[in-house]
Amino acid sequence: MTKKLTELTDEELIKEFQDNETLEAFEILVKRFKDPLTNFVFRFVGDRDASTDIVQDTMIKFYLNKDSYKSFAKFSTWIYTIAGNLAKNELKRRKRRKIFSLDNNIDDDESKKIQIEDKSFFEPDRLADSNIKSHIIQNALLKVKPVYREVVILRDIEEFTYEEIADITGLSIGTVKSRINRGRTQLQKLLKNIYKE
Amino acid sequence: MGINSYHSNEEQKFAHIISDLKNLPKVKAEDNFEFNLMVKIQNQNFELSAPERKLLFNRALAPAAAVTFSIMIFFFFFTESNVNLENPFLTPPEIRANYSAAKTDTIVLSQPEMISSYTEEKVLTQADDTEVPPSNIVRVVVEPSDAVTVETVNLPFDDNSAVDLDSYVTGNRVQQNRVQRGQLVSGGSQPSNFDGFFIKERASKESIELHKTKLDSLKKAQKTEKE
Repeated sequence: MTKKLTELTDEELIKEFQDNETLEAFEILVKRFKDPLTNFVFRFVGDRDASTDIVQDTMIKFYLNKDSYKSFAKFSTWIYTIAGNLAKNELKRRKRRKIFSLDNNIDDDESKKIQIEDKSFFEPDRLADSNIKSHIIQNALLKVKPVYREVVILRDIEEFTYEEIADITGLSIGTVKSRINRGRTQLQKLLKNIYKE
Repeated sequence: MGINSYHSNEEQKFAHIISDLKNLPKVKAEDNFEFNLMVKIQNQNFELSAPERKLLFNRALAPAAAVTFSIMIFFFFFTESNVNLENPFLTPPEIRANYSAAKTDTIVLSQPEMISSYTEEKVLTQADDTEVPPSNIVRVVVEPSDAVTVETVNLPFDDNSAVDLDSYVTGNRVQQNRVQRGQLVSGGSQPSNFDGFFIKERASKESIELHKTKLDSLKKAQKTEKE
């Protein structure tokens, strides 16, 4: 029975979970989506602990609201929508906290900007180091507006199609394309010193 | 995930970025992710991770808050406007005679004969320069028991600077020395010490007769008292 469940598609598994409350089907779906969701949320929020919490909350929401999933949609777009909404809520909460925080350090963002844009900050040979480069790209990504960042991550990191991104975000395909384009342009400006060489 | 196609010119323009983003290391969930999740589900611990959620405004309270806010606005703005706040600059000055007319019937009359007698006296005796003419204003107070008293009113003005405008206009003003004489207009750099106006009420013929009879009765009463 277990072997058979693992062979099922995502949509078949959630149907099994909806119809028979098979916890194993739920566990298989969690196993399939925990890593891509964690990667997506981490790239979007930029915090490891927060991303773990958000993905946990996503799975709990999935468990509690399994019946709100309709079979005409792809399961992946449905679960990414939940995760994306929770991630956006987290960003809003952080923004509020930053506004009301008394020890809000304004210089913090400026120093990050220097780290990204000042090519003299890193030696050229060190730039080749993929860890540092990916760190710089991640920092630059977090500087892109959240509305653009989300679609860029979904497109270029999670490799969704435009149609799937439109389903996840609830936007039209045209809006998705223009937002991706703007997000990439912002990212290119932030990383111009890396791509000059 | 779905099938990707990077063929458009736009995507070629960002080829470097797209490839870098694709090659970013994949972040994986923690090893105990499923265990923690299943523990939460088993324990029915479905409280979503938002510690400050309790501090956030409860949307269910929004109508109550709106009503309270509206009442507060009504209370502070609309009820305040009903209070008649008198603008001191727009209020006409109160007649000074009215100050003493609180409980009894009072009339303030001028007695021109007192001034004339004082002037004659002044010429004859060459009185001291600092002497001030007595006030020619008397207050007739009629008590509720019909007892009438007459008393001289001491004007609340500085005699040195006071000016009897009626005398000034008619030319009958008492000639005083320079120190005592009040000035209508202060000259030079001297600041003007203006205390205000005292308005003398012109009594009607009837009221004068009425008060005359009252004064007569007063005099009679005084005579009988002396006797």
